Amino acid sequence: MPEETVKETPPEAPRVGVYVCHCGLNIAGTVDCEAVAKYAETLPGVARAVDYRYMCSDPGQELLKKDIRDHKLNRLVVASCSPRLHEPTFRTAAEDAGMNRYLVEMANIREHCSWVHLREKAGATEKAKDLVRMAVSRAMLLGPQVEKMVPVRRTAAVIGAGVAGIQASLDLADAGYHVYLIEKTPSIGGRMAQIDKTFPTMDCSICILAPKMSEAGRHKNIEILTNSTVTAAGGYVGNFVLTVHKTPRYVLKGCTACGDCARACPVVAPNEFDMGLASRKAIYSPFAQAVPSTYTIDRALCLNKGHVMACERCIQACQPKAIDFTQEPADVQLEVGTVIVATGAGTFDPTKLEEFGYRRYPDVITTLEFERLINAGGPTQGHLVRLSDQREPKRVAFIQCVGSRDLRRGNAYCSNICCMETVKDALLIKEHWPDVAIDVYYMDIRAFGKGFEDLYRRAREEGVRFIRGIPGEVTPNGNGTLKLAGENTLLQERYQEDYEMVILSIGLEPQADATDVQRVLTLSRSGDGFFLEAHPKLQPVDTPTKGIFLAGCAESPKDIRDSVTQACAAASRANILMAKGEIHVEAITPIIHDDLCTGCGLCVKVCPYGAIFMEGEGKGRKARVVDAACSGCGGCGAECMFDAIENRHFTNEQIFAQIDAATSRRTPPRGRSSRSPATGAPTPGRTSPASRACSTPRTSASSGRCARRA
Amino acid sequence: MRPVSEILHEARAYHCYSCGKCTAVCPVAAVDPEFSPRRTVERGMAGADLYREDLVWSCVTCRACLHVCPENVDFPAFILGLRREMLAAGRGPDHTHGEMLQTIPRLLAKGTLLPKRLDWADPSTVSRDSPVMLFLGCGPYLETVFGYLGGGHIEIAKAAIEILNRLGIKPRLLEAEACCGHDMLWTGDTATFEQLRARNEATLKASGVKKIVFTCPECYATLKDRYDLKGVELVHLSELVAGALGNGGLTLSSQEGRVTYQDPCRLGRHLGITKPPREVLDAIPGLERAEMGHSGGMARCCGISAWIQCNAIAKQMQIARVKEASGVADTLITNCPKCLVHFKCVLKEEGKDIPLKVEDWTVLVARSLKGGGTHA
Repeated sequence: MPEETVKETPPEAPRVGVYVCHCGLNIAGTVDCEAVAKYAETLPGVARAVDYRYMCSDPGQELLKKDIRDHKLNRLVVASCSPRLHEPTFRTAAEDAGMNRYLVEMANIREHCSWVHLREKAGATEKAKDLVRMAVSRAMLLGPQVEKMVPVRRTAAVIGAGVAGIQASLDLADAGYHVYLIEKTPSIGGRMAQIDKTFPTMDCSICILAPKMSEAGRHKNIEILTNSTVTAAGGYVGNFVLTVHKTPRYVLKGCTACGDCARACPVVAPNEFDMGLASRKAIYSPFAQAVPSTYTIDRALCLNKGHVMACERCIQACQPKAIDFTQEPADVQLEVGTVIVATGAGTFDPTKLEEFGYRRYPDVITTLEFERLINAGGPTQGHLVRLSDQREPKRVAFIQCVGSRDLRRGNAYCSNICCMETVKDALLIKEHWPDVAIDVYYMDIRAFGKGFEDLYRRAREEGVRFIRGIPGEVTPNGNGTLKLAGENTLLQERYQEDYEMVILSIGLEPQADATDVQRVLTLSRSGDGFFLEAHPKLQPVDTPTKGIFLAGCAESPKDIRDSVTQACAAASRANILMAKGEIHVEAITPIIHDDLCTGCGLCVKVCPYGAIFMEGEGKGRKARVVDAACSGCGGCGAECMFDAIENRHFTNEQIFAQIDAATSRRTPPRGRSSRSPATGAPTPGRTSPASRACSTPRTSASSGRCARRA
Repeated sequence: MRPVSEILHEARAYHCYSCGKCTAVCPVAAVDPEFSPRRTVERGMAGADLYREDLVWSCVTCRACLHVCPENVDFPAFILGLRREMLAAGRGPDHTHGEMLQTIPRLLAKGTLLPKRLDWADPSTVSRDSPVMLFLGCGPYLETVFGYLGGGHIEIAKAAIEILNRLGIKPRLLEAEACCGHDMLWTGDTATFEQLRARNEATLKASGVKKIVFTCPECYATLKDRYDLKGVELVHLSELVAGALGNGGLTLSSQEGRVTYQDPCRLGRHLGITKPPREVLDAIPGLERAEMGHSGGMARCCGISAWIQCNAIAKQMQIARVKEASGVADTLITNCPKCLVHFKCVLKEEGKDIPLKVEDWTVLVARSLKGGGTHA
């Protein structure tokens, strides 16, 4: 690949415009901006220096453009906030005035100065002057850059097929893109398929989900891969390559889901969909409305191991002859432009909270187990019965915040849904069995969403009691009932109450395989273990990796409405990339100088983005850059012992100039610059080793190898 | 006295959700409706004066509250902060047994007194230079003070040595071992505690011991959490024994009995050691072991801490606990020299109609060694 050439501009003396922003009082309250601007005027190369109240405002930007024209400025230094906020603003203003975007430098005198030295005004002002001096030094050496355009594939991958994944897939498919919907279990649907009713609408959950599942199943643009997991991901935004491991079903598409095979199968195991409260066979469909409806054989349970056929009952029972034990796992490569991660959440296991007796006493169950019991398609056909004796409970208690808001033995965060889940569950019980006494033991009731307060009100109208005081223990009375003992914190009295069923309102937590997903896709996780968004307020569905988005509980606990909202948002974000069909790559990627590159490959080892690779053999082995994958971190340039890597827009010269400026005297002695002679002219290409600012002797001027590294 | 708000802040009490779980599990609150960790914290945050004798000295510092607290509010640490101020202001607790049991540590804190309390030890079972030491604690003194209950503490010490011998260890007993200072610490007498700590740290460093075996959970917890003993391994006897079970190691001979195990507060909740003592009991053939309703992290305190406030509330706590034990077993196995005293005491007087015996874990295990198993 030929070395990138950048448009050469005729060398001219730099004329730097310095703009010191007040940012209202954010900077000006601590830093004397006027003094900094006055100081900037004294710096070599500075043609104009002013201070201004809000540089990012429209008038501020107009000021920049006007000055560029009127004062023939060819470099800008904006001393203001972090470039993470307004670099695009000032770059665009410069570009509008005819200047290359990359001739703008920012000095952060807010986050790096005024905000961290609030009580040291004099010191902060001096530091701001230093930062501006450094910025001017760099600005003098900046060269124009051209941004590359990278094509974006118009195909998307959605990982996880719960309601969030399904919604995102439908949106993208309707917009015309081909979508791979990848799901690790045998059917799409996720948690929403397990729930009985939704809050606050009291809709039958699977009834409103199934149409979406069905639509996804038959959509011409959606390709569903179930029993599949993403095992590797390469590439970069617009051009991802996902390796998907497909575990076979051992059942062909001709399966009519009649169930004869399951009836014949001799192996019984707990059914995950029913939270282990019911059983399934080794050959099974997870639930009645499964999409795809094709049955699956769980080979871990099946009596046939490898190619040894010990049992053929399903084969014999199957009329359409759809059983096929010869199927093999496959690894497929999917080339996609964008990825949406919608892998959902797991639930907290309350066994470790010994005081509640979960797993010790069968009549202590979780809310998710309750959903399966009360569901007409569940193990008890919707009859709420005690697991101990299958009798209907007359007194039921809910305990809130189990595993959530718990620093010691649970998760520190609030799980968002549990209050409303319980309110809904209580109403469900009352609907069917109005005489059942229901008490909810809580710390707070969070009914924050649309329609939530109404549902909470309805529950209280129906006679559900809300008692503020989490029980300290659940103990058996010996007659089949359970005693809850606690403190009613509003009455300031201890209580002891007996119940026939205790339901623990468990919280959500990251999936057990979240670490694997994170590793494969190089995602970040927040402190609570969920995947991290790029910005909690302004980019809630983006990840720090361009082209990868989040939706649903994978990002944090939330209900169906918010999961669907995020799914639509993620689809929209993916759509932006894919609709344009190409994206700009910021011109901060490395240039490889083949004449210096020895092909050692160290740069490849240190790149966290897989953005650099080796090409060629022997003496012709050289490093090559994948610009779109590169984040401009500079690690490769720092590592290269042969100075063969030049980091565009962050060249060694520019950085040395900043260091020299930082370590020089604030006011140079009269008549002499404190720096070694500035080159003056911009250097768009590379400088020859001899003219570097670094004074460490080299072993050989031609090899450019630094003596320190010899 | 320090402002209550400052002590509340140190104990993270501002994080309290007021969920009520602490009061639900507190053994004192179970018998005294006026006492509630949560209400105490709430009132303190509202500015009430918490420097009250009836409040500050009633807590048994068992950490049942901390065990269930979702916000990690260390109520016993908060109480300790208050106690330091109260004691310094001359508003100390009711010391039981004529303050004798506080006198002994105070005497030892002076640093020069060398106790003479090892005469009962058989020299052939101990070693003068082993790197493994058996920390005796207050056992020998308690034998004297509680002779009227039938003693039992020297028996524990002897049993511990026997078990260690069977494990191939002749432990060292240090003449100059002083009281660990646990009770001084928890009654707010920081000065005496620091003296004892300094004395013991110096003695232990000079002795060159590398491993200290404890039978007393309070000594173990104090040395582990409050002392600076870098490079010295601390272990409870039950951990050593449990580790030697099976795989051709220690085997125990048959014992008869229906027993239940009392988790000492310092061993179970403060140190998190609940499994090893049970593993050993379960390895004794013939022994039937049942759990009380409140066991493990939920175990209930023996009612008294640091030899103070022996009163009607304490007795009610003790009665409740022995009733719970007698509901599932004939014998209550204790694993702490103080639990032993407290349960024996209540069963002798207020609880004399309750059909329950008390036996120490170490003594029972040593008995099971006779005639059984090879040593590791």
